[in-house]
Amino acid sequence: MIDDEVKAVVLAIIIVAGVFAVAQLATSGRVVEPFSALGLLGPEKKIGDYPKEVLANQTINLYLFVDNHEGRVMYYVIYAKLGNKSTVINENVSASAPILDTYEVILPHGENATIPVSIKIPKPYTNARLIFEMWVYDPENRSVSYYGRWVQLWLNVTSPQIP
Amino acid sequence: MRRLLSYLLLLALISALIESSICHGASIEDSIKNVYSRLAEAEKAGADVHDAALKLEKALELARQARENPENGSLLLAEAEKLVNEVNSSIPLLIETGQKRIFWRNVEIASAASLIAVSVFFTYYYGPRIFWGTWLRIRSRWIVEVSGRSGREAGKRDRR
Repeated sequence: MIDDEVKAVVLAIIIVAGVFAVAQLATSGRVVEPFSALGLLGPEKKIGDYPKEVLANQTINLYLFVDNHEGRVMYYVIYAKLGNKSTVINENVSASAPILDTYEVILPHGENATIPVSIKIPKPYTNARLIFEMWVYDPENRSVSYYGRWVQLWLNVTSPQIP
Repeated sequence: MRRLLSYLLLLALISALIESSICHGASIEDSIKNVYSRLAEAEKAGADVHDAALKLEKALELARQARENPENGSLLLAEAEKLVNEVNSSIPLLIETGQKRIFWRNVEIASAASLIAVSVFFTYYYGPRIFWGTWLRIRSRWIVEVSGRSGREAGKRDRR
């Protein structure tokens, strides 16, 4: 009653739809493109209003935003470093600069954290680079390794004027 | 002399207390790292570690607060340690639940695949029969009239 060709076409459509449905079921919940994000927020927890000029020993209040989309639980270690114009930093090389502070956060997949940062720079400094580097704790090696994410803030640190 | 000895003793006691507090702080961080490693392993084994990881994060925060406020340090560290122990003891159960979840998920995928295969078979063999059966049932009340030469002369060809 129905042509064999029509039957074959219907069969093919059903098979393709079936394979697609099973593939969807099998891959659901899998993270296709894992990533971690690191952001620097101003004193109002917003992108902006960053300090540019600060006094030596003045508390700089900022916020760090860390976001985990790696598809697994992560132990992040954020190092705050004080660099300058010549400090080399990129995705593969971390800054060779003194560490001002360390922040640690454990995040399951899909979670984020906003960490308050209070830092003081003890001495006057022109074109100081406040660098925040993302490192991760590797449970297999039991050590932290640079994760290639970093943010920075350029600052001029002046000495307080004596009246 | 006795007074000097008592001062020395007191000094030794205070330094021991400070040292134990510092060591305690260091040990809580080590145990957080150890439990995190176990948690990461558990996650690989299929466990849902979301809530446990948040508890561990809370413990990490408490440890940091204890470092910053040494006057409440012991209290905060005790709370952090409690959370770490809680997470540590929950790991075997999390793994067990995760493995069960993986098993049932595989069962679900296998059943879906089988259901699709069976439905393909049924559609191929019984589809046309069902289709024509339905078609006939829908049109069973149609009245078919013999028309004249043109459709206009005969009026309506069929009526429902």
